[in-house]
Amino acid sequence: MSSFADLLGGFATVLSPENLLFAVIGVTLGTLVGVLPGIGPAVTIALLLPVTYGFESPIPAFIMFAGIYYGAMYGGSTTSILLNTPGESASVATAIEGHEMAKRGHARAALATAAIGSFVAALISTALLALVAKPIGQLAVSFRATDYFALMVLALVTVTALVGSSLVRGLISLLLGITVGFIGLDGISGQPRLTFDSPTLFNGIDEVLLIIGLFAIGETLYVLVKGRTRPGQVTPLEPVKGGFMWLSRDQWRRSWGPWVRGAGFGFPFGVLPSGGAELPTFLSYSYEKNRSRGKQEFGKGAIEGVAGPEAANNASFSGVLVPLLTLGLPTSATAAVMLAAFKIFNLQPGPQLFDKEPDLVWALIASLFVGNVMLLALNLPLIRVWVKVLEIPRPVLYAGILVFATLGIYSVSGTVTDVLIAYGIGVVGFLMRQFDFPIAPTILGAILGPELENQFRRALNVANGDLSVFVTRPLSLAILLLAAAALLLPYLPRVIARVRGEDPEKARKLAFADED
Amino acid sequence: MTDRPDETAPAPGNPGGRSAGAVEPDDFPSHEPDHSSDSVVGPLVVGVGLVVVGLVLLTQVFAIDAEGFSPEGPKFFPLLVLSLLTALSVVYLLQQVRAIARRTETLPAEKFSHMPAAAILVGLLVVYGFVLGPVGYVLATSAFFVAAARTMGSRHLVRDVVVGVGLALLVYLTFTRALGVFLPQGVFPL
Repeated sequence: MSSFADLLGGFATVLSPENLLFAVIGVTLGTLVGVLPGIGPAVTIALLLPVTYGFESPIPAFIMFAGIYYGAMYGGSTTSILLNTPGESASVATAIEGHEMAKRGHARAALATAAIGSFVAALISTALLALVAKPIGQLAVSFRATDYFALMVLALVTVTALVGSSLVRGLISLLLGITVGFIGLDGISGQPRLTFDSPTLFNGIDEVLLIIGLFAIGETLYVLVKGRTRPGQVTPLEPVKGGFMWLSRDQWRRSWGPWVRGAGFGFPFGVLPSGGAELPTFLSYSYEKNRSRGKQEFGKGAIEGVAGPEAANNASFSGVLVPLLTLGLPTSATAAVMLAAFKIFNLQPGPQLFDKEPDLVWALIASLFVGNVMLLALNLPLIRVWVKVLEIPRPVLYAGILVFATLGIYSVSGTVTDVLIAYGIGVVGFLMRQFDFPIAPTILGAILGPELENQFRRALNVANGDLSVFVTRPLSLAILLLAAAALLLPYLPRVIARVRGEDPEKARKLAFADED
Repeated sequence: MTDRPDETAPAPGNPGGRSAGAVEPDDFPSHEPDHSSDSVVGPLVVGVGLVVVGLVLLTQVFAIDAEGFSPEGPKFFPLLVLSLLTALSVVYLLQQVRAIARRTETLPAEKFSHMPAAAILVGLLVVYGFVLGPVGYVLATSAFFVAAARTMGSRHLVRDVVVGVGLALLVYLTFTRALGVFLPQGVFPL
């Protein structure tokens, strides 16, 4: 029951006026960026990192970040349903069924089932997070450097294998990210590495530069080159038809099962290093398509196809927080950015975090509950505001994004060099999109890379340089074998097809979308 | 921000890039936009570029001032990562070469359309980065905003100027006064 008492303490922290204000700012900003196509929660948090330098306590900052993340999920579903352009990649499933519903005049029902489903799933998964976080943290105390190294390899490899459509390109992205992490003075020996003897690079490349460059600037250039500088057609909202919270009795009955099942898919896949929300939303979508009562409606706007994936999407975020808080292991791009935020406040997420910073951890968890209540209250009644946001002319929007991107970089360092480096990274990000290299592994690699190397060298220091140390400890070996299996997993459909004697070219590699 | 007849008009083609009606019922939709480029040169250039970057960085690894490549030293791990990166870059390059030779589907490369606009935008960004300090935040940002919006196809000069100046002033005042972040004041005393 001590977790429960801790959680109550967390609520006490969050419900102070100042923290509530930051929660409101977070969920509002989050919904805003979720609604806008092209900028996700990762960029928004990265853009706001410099703002938090002036904060004395990390608690308001993290309350705001959690609000941004959840807000982006709610906002993303609005865009998917009304515009059929997923605001963020985990909303792809919602975009199919939800947009069909909107076209048939059920936009409000689709929006409602997405929002309420997100809310229900968030409550379930945050409760699970509160339950399992501390025990897992205690378990992690016995982990050694080799285990951490193996876990990080597993996280990096699974995200890389599951994101994007080619393992070679994914791994190149990942290794490029890790390489960026090498740049600068080596933390242990103090030697400059990969700096080309230029002192400007001695401090390395700030993660904020990399994230803003790859996501914000790269995306803007990509959008421009694709010629997508006009907003799409927003499906008009139908007049309110009655029902409780825009859902008829029948729609409530059809929604609650997918909500709960979606949460069931979302949370465990969020906990496991599986690349965030894409896999569980995909699983929830295909489960509902094949099993639910409305399966014959799929493709024509089935409410289950909105309810399930949206719930899974939201539940996975609380799940992602489990490895992030207990092991310091980010498993999605946004989680990686949050890890960077922890570093700004000199906090090291991991088993000790629950002992050293219990206020922060439990306030963060409590803020997830509070934030979701706010989002439910904010989302449906203010739907007309979000529709207006969707109609912002794209040139104005993207010019604004570039202004904020530059502001974010400039306020980190105040030097023109860093601004130019970020623009250069932006061009690289644009090229990566053009040639279908996934972005998320690069971000994860750059943020996790230095710690990966640290654990690697720490383990080898203890073992006097004997590389077999990674395979002699059963736990490390098991995790590393899992990582190897994860590399092969996406090719499973093709292998099965070959075994069955079918044409392996037909069975495409399991692939999920990129970014947040 | 009410007059925008051209932006709300339906764009030619499919602005979202996807149409739900086209989704195969048995297939989870691919999030990828269409890779409708006939360019076979692009991936080749990228492949060669990656290999060169890998090799150049490898020389930097050998330049690290430490003795030997003991696994716990500062050179071993970068060597491992960069060797893998270079090897995979070679694989990427060979994939494209093989695809061209066998006339099968080549690696994805999207069309480079609107490139002049993109190049102008990058140029604007670079100029913006340089003049930010000397000219000052508000003036540089307003001018950049208007120019960038115009490059991306906006034809509402008055609207862009109003939004640009407003945004620049708002950001400048919030960041310098409320958040205590330094931004260059430049030629305008504010």
